[in-house]
Amino acid sequence: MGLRDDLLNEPVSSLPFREPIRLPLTAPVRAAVAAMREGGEGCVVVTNDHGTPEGNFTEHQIAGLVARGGAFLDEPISRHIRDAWAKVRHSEPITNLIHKLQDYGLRYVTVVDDAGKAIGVLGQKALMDFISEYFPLQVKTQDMEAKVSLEKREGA
Amino acid sequence: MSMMPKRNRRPAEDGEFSDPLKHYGNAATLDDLERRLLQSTVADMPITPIDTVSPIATIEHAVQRMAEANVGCLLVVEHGRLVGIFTQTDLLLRVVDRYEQIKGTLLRDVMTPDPIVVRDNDSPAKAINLMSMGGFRHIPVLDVDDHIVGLVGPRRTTAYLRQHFTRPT
Repeated sequence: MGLRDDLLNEPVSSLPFREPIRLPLTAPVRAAVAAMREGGEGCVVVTNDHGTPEGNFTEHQIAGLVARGGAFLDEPISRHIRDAWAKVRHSEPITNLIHKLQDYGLRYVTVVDDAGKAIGVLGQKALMDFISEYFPLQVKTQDMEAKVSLEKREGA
Repeated sequence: MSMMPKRNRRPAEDGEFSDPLKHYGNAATLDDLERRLLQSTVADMPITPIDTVSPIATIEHAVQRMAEANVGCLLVVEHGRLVGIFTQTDLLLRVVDRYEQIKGTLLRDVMTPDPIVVRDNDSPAKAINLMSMGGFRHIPVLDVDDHIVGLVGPRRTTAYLRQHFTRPT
């Protein structure tokens, strides 16, 4: 099968999603910033007392808060989580992820298991990783290799 | 550099065979989406409008510009040439928790200099591969004369992909 069929038929669980960074609703923005930095993620999943996701808190919200100014770092993230967010079941086809990213204008979608528990976060990066497998290696590396090689001294 | 393709999927379970070359084929076996991603150009994609800023602008100015334009990144341009990029990730990693102290600092001190770019005649597949390999969400698009044409971003890339699929009912 080709890329189109695989996007239509393969489940979201075949994408390389990572464990989400989970924070409770009461966590301060400062904790989210630290967790995102440490985890190398642009998004945390905000959960209620039962571990059920209530929303996402992303780099985009942080950028808005910085622009607004004020002492927001110690405010609870529950005040700032994004109203519009989406989840996708791990067994749904990858095309559903594409539709949700686009329909909601999101960068990240929370992946949930059959019980509704958050098991991962997926964004465009995972989608790009999946698609990049379908194309030859020469388009994958040439620019970055060229940039690296220019920085190395050669010859006498 | 290894010639084995990077594996971007979950690894095979124990005992399960996974052919690392299973997606490699010749042009005759490409499906319509693969063919379009390989044979069209970045210029055919819905390129995101760009918002530019000077490297000697302040961080505060850049943050306000990003918010006003509701964009995730700014291209940093000097004398008409791309010299850097400033994204929400840069903001998260280098600015947010000391913003009040450094908001008057010049953008050139916190931007990502010399970003990876694609040319407007490169394929969308190449742009996607650069996003994957480098972990970039936004890639500036330049023409052959190094003039800025636009920006390939995640939202537009997803929109481009979705043109090939009907929405579920």
